[in-house]
Amino acid sequence: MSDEQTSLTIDNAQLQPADDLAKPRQMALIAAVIGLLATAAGWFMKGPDGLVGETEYFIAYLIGWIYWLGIALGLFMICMMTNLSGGRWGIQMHKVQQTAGRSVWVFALLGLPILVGGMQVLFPWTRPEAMNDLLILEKTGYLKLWMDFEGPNPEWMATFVPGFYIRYVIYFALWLFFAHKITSLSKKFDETGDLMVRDKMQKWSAGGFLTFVMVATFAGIDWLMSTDPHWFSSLYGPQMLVWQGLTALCFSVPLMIFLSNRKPLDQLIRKTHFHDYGKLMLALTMVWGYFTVSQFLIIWSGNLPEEVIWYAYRNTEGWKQYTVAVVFFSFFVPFLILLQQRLKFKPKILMNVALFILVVRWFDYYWQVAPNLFGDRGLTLHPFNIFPFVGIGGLWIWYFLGQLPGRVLVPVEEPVIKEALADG
Amino acid sequence: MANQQEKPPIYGVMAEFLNPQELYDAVKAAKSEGYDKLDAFMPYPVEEISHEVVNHEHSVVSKIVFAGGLTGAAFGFLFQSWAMGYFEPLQNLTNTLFGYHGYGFNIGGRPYFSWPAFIPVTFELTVLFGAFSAVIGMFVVNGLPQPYHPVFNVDSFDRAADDRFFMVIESADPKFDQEGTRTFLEGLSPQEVTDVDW
Repeated sequence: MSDEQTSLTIDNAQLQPADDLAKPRQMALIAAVIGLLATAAGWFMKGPDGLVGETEYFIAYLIGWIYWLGIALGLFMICMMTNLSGGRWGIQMHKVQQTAGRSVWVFALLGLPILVGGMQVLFPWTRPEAMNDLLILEKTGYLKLWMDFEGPNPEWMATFVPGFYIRYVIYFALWLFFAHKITSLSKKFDETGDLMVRDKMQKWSAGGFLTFVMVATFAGIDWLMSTDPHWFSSLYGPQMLVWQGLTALCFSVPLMIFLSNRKPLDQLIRKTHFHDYGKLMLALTMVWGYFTVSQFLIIWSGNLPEEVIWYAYRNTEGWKQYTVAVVFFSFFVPFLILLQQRLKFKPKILMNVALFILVVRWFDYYWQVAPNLFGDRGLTLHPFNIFPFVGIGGLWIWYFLGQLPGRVLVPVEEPVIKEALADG
Repeated sequence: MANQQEKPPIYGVMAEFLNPQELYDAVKAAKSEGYDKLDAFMPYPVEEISHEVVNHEHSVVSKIVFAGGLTGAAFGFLFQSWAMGYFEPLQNLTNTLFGYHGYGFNIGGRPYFSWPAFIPVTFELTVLFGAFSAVIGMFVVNGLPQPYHPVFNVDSFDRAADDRFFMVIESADPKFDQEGTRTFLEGLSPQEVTDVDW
């Protein structure tokens, strides 16, 4: 065992060679340029007579945005979770996950087109006619943060929704605050090796995890669930967390394969770590199935009009087959593949499963939103959907990967990391 | 008694070691020598040695559990459908066999075949059957319960529960040969090498 090879300090724990990321970054940038140019072109060509309907346009944008935001948040949540649980299996990816957490500000900007142009398209409760809907009026106290059903109600007031904007700012502020707080504590710990700092980081992780769970719940209600303001499900927040966690885990697998072939993480990422990620992917796939069935079962048993309408839309011609396909490909296929232990030990196979799940996740997000807005029109899958997804994803990946070189990639002072390095 | 004649004269050859490292090296050496039917005995579990001795990849328990789970799912779902008077052939079968058939209840005006309501029970029975087949399958595959085992014929083997580590190469191994295996084991510098009687 040679000491030169195994001793990692903050001076040599950077990605080597540093320009190795140039190629994936270049590909991401190309995807970003194509996707975002098409999205920008779509902005001017949308409309009833245009290339893409206004509803389709904003659904595509919303899904693309939430999808990649969920990955960034999910990655950082895994970091906080493993800070709390300890153990060897998750800690080697901490620095990468913290980078993802800090990159969330990109999405705060990327969400602006929705706030500017998509409010009335995506969220029926912001439309003027919502003022005549008693069921929605009961909820405006929270959704809009003001209530005034008595007054004259000029049209601009009906569509005035400060609550949505304020919460948007609060969500991103909380996410970024915790991402920066925990990153800076982690950095301090790398430099000093003071276990008190690590303790503090653990405590902040506890608060951060709790906050992320709450914020994800509220954000899910705001950005996805309120596309059908009549409907509600108390399982929506937990489901949002499952989507974030599952996409983040799946996104990690190709990233880990890339990093495990390069210094410094090649010393730390082992086959068993892929097995661990595979196990968590299986667990979250099962949780997805559990939540999906529970929500359906409760609403089906209750049989209340404002709730069952959500499933009624998804039971119409076209959407019905789509629904069956989503359940089949989100649960049964990955479940049966991931159930086999030996497959989870093979990074290449696990990566293919992860990419498959990532694709299906998009269709599930779409399933959550699109039928609410044109459920009565039958299944609609406009090819435009690909552009915001690729554009936003490419831009974020380009930025995120660009943050990795030159930074300490291994929490070198972590006791378990030292142990793992000593074991060789 | 013809069966007794075909049996090799002894169960196998046992070597005794002082610590787990020696045992691990011995198991490794025996494996690379081509011995396959061997077993190790330790006062406490040592994961590395278990991994060498037992081939977890080929364990059939996981397949038994999967089959058990599928059986539970099918049974749970079909039983509920049957109880609600569904599946005509199944009804006829139970009618001719036992003189029973299912009876559809009107529950809140829902259709008799309300599959969403069947899911919780189906899930529970999947888990129940899976768990049972895991336990029973483990017993069967391990050959438990086993009130007699030849290794206890060796006097010093009592210390396997205390402070010694043992490896047995069974005579059922195709490479086994009483003298040759004995010489091989003595080459591993154990405390003692003993023939294990039946």
